[in-house]
Amino acid sequence: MGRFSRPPLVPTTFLLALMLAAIFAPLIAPHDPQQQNLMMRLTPPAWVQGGSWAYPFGTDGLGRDVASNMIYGLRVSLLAGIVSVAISVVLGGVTGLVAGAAGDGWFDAVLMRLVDIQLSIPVVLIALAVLALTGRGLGKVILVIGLVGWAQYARLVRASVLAERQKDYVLAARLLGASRTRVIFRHLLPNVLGPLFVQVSVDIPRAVELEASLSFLGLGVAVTTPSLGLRIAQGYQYLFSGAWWPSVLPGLALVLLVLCENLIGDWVRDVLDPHYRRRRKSGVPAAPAQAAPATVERTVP
Amino acid sequence: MLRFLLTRAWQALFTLWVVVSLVFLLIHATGDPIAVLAPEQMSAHSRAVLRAALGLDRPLAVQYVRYLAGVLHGNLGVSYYSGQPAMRLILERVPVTLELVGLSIGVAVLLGVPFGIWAAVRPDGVADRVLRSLSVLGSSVPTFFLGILLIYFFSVAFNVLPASGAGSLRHYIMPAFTLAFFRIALFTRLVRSTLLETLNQNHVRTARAKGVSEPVVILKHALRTALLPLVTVFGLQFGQLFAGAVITETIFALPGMNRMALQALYRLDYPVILAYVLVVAAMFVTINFLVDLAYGLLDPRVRHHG
Repeated sequence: MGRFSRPPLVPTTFLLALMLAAIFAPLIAPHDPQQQNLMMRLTPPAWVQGGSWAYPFGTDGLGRDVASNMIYGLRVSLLAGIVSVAISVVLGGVTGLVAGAAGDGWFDAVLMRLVDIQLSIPVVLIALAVLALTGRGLGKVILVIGLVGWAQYARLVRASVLAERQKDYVLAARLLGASRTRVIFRHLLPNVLGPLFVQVSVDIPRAVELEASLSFLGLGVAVTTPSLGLRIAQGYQYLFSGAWWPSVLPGLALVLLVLCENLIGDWVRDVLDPHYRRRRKSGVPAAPAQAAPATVERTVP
Repeated sequence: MLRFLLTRAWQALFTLWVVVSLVFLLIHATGDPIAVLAPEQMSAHSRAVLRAALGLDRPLAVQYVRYLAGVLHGNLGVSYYSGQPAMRLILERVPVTLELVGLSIGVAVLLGVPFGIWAAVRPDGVADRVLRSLSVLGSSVPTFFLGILLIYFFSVAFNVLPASGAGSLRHYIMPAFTLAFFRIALFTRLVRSTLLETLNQNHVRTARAKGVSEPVVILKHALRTALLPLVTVFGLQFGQLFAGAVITETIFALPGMNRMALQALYRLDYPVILAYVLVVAAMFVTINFLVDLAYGLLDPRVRHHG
């Protein structure tokens, strides 16, 4: 590890803290996130005049504890981010692996055209449409985010496989009599893990944001699920009467989570992507996450 | 060039067909429109009449052909909710959305490109460091939360900008900035990194060697090459902008087509959803086509290659 840049200490610490808070939410949260106390509704945070330490971050319009909802909300966000990306990886990875290993042919051609189409339609729009037609729920949101994320992985794995299979070690394995499946899983797969991991580190924060956005729009989780996006939407209506905490504080928690994940993602890319490592050495830092696949995508029309 | 145009046009049509068919399948796979449309107490007979009146009793293949014919004529039926032609409902709202999207692209380019140049001129200088931190932040703040923060500061706390509506240009300031924010960061990083790369290239060194002044080297020789990836990302961002506009229009209550479509989604107003999907798909395809053309204009190397 010596020759690599050191992991970003501050974001890692914060992310670990947030993850621990999410895992041990029932132990940490001062209240039940669903519990309403209409006598105490819109209590300001403890440090603002009129606030009390019983509700450190205040209460929302239904008298629910904002802090507890934030802690449970982190749970939902992290779960959505990790599980949905795992679904995308498996789905896209397998398709890409098969397409790449099969090489040129109708399967590959059709698949890549589908990938192009999928990538040209914004994920939010697809997810919105599917959720509106099928109904809400955390499980559905995660599934939809996972399903619409397959294309990027299919493209990535296919490209890596196509590049790797030309190399001598694959030929050597073939000559030694390794079966196709063995070549794919024992020889090709380990070599595409690097770029795959980079993409995962970019996609987790995006999935977290997507879940929050969908829930904010009212098409994500069910109204009782303590999702940060949903709580921000519910708190938003009290913004105009000056009660900023039910929307702003969960929002800050979301920003902190995504920011930490992004910073760690930048580091992962520096370490694992030789292309970017080379760039950084020449004084050019990593290009933005969104731009990187984009520039690869359509360099020549 | 003609072959290139024809290939592109063919691909565009294919994409549109796929999108249109997918939407048809999605709607028919997820439920019966009559179940949504008809009031609960409606009799079985009335349901059958309604079904026949809407042509929903015909075989799926027949419905599909009719639907495609309708799409080709721009006739998608009337909104289940308001009874007005679905296509017109969406098209009426297009100008507001285009203004929003156009303004945010303008803001993003006008701020992002100079920021990127500024950062690239002195890598690791103060401007570069500050801009880099800001751009990480820019890609970590969700659109809807940025909108809420802006509303709180500018409408609630200081009351200098309207929080909703689309009456004047002032109504567009916060929405356009909200939508542009992430893209300012994106364009800054992109221009910075590509410019730094081009500054090492031979043609830039040649320009410097023959005594061209530094501003001219950067603006005329390096930037032109550096803008190519920007054009690509610009095209891809257009789609993302529409997605972001759904959220922005909702927060700021802008009467654009995205907000209209979101309301149609809540009510399962299929004709309006379809009209929206068609309009957006057509816009995508057009923009991608224009981006390809711009590519040819900016980079002689890709010109005339199919």
